[in-house]
Amino acid sequence: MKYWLGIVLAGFMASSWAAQVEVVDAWVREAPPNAPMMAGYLTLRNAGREAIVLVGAKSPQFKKVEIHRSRIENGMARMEKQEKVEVPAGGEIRFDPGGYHLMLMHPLKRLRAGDRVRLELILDGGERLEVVAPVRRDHGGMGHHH
Amino acid sequence: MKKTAVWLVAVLAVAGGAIMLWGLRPATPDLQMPGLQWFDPAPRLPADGLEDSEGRPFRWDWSQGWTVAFFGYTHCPDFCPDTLAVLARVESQLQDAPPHRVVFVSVDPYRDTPEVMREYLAYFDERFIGVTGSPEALQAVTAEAGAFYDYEDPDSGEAFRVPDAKALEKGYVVNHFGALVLVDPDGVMRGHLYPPLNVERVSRLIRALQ
Repeated sequence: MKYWLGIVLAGFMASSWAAQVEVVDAWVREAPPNAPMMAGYLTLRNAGREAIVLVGAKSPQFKKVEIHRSRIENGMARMEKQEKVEVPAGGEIRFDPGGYHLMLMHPLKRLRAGDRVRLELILDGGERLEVVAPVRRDHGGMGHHH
Repeated sequence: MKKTAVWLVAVLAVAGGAIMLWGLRPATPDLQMPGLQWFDPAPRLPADGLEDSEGRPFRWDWSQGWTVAFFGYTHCPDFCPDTLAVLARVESQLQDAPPHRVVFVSVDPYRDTPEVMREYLAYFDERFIGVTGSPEALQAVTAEAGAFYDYEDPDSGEAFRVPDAKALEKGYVVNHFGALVLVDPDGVMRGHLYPPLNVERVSRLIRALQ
């Protein structure tokens, strides 16, 4: 009886955890055919009571995925690789042009608007979030496009 | 009497010519915007060692109008594609724009060849001009334009001037100038438009490049 109770509780905890983290508005910017890098954007929402930490990402459609953050400093466009991104309890972090983004490195084949990119977001506890991000042609402007 | 008349005509002709030439010098565009900076005096940009994606020598002077230049690189995932997309959008929708050309200068000659540039830019707009150059040529033009750049290892954050074989294998980030560089028909750099670079700001700027 205790054994089954344990399993049921674990099940509740896993599903309630999964329900607390949400990925919305995921999209990948369409890029030139010979572009070695593409960018993925999304919003991570944490409805839970503890911070969640994103530590990496993967995609079967790219050689490698890294998390980067763009910024303008003294007129210079810079980019910093992020080892982790923390999403506060009850908060959200947006990955948007000009800010955080997934650097999708070396597409294994050309991706065009309408294609879908499968992303796996890796959290620090080892948990994985599966996301599907459509490829979109975007006319730029750092977020003034929705 | 005749001699004085000849002298007078000559002086007036020269003066008239000078006044005409003065009037033809491109005036500073009549536009003020946050993040838009006009320079006076203004430097003439060097073009030695720069070439376009057809392999022809590139020149900063262009009698037909102004040049809107952006310095970046094709391994850029976020900032450069966004800016090029804005520039392409402006080109496609701006009516009655004064003649101008858009130039994308790669500050990553180690990975961006003229052919790479041609294919990359064709995606945004067939009219965009890709420019590459030797490291020396790029250092000269970016220094004059105030468009500084350097290379950085993404893991250590360490900056370097020239990528070695290891860096080329691993990949590196290029930190580059984020503003649009505005060059008049004489090849003189007259202004910078700093981010945010969106369709509205860039349209207003291009309309003012009379």
